[in-house]
Amino acid sequence: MPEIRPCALVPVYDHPTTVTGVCQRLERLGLPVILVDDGSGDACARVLDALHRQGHALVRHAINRGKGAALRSGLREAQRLGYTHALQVDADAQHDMQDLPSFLAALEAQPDTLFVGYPRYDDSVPRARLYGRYATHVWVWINTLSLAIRDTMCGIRVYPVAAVNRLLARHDCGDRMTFDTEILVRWHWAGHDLVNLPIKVHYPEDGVSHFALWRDNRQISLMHAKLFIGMLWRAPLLLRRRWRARRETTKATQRTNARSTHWSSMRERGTLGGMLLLVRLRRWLGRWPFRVVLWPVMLWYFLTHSTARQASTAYLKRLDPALTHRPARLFGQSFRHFLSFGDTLMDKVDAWSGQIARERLTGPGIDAFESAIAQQAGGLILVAHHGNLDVVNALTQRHPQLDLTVMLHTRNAGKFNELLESASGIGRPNVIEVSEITPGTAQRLARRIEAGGFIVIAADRVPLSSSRTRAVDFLGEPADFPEGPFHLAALLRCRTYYLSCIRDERRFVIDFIPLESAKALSRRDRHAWIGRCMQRYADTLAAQVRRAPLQWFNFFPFWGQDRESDVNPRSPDTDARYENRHDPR
Amino acid sequence: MSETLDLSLELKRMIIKTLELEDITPEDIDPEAPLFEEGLGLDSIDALEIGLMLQKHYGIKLDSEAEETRQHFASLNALKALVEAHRDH
Repeated sequence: MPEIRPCALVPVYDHPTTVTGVCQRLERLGLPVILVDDGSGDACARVLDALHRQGHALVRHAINRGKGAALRSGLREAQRLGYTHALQVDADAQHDMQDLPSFLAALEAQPDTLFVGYPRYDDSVPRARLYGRYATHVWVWINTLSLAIRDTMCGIRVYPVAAVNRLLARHDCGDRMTFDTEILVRWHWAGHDLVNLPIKVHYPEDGVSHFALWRDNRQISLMHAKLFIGMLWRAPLLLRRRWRARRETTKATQRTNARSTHWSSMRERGTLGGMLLLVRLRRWLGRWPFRVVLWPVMLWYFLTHSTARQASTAYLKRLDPALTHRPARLFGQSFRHFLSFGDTLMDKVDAWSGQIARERLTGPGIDAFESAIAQQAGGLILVAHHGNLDVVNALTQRHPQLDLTVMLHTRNAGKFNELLESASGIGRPNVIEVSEITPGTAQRLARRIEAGGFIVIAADRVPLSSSRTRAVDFLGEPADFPEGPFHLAALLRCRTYYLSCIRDERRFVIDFIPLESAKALSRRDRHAWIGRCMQRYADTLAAQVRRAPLQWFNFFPFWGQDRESDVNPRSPDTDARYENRHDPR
Repeated sequence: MSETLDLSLELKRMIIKTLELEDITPEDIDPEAPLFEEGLGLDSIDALEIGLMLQKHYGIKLDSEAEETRQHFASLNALKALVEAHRDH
């Protein structure tokens, strides 16, 4: 193991009265000091010159560039001087130096770890400041999808110099107040070790803080939004890592099969942890934090996901050909389409956390559905990625006798529901996960329908495992729909229904429309019946889509023609047509 | 003995009726030959249909696991063994 050579790193911006004392105390700990003068005024600069003459290293910015820039300069200098670790200490003497030896002892044992102080406040701390920190804590928890980092604003930490400089070469983490937080989040993302150590903090009466309220708050908000997007991007990775760590600690004996590293299982896990956090946060904080973050996130998706955007504009032009000649309006509509998807995410979170009152549900579908439940009519409910079906859950709550099973193409969906249930306290419908329907599954479904139950299945997306599709006319052009759900109805010889839930201002309009019935269907007529039922489904869907065009959430080339005209038809986003989740996430 | 022969014939007739295999007679079905693909040439949807038939007529509930079902559905004799085992319970 290479020799450990720690130093102290003190960024200074106009702390003439405290910095000398800080240096003396660090010297007593046997630490060489690197001072970074971040464009201090004359009085402080003179003090720093004097300290430099006493042998402390000094890096100087001619003008004030911010704490982040100062720390980057200092860390580079530390590496140049051959130090392996840099103990960052603020120059304003807020921290109790008694705690520092514990940092030095810790780094001896774990030289690759970044140690972060978390404050134990005494009574001198201003209350408002304490609460203000919480907003950042919550953001950091969301953005790392973990509680691994206790405090990202504490100025006491030990950086492994070389590793941190490598990270900073890729992401500078901002010049000002965002640095302290962003470097820790990125360190965590990169999979490095991080340990929290307690530290006593008191606010000196003459304390000089350089927190420029408006500028810094704006930058901090931007940083959180940026990191949020970065988190969404890395969520599968972060959660897989956590899951692995947990699995190792619990020493689960069963060897995971090769499938557990497949993207589909990862992705489910990714959304799982993230959604759970969202549900909890929705309950604690209300709706506004989501609103604040969704807008920039959807803008970012809109600007960077060209396949989804092109699919959206092609779809909108199909509904309203006049848009072809009005590119600005088309662009605006398309962004509204993306925003509408963002709203749906919020509604989903609301639905999961039980925040949607029954009074907000309306439409003829309520009575129709309720009477079908009462008659125990049973059947297959074909749904689409239009509107927001999670909201219907509020309706199904009222019917304890209702036997509703949701068929999903995702694994772990059952576990996901259990978790949601424990987070929201609301029961969820049964979920059957299908990658393929076995005779045993078909038997289960038949038993449920015979007993008057309903099976919900999406019929507008072709699952990866299936190749059975049929082109039917949809909004004026043939489009491929999966045959599977219709085959299932023919096989089970049951009724089929169309269920949708469309948002209309504050209300949710529910429709429950009977389609074809396969009762007494003979095998000979099956092929024709499936075609008829598919066309009826597509027509019903088309009518609904025309009522609420922006709630269509298939952001991929839906029609064959659109797909073929693609420059790169095999791009990952286009392949999403054949997967089971294909939102612009 | 005759009872198991009857069951074999019964199952053959049931399969033909369920799957509406008009041009096939019970004699055409080799009890040892595979029912699916190369043998009788049935497909995965036919398998679901046979599963439903077994539930309806014999009250047999299959496991959702595909592999186990595949063994029960390997041939007519395998299917017969499944029905017999269920009757013994």
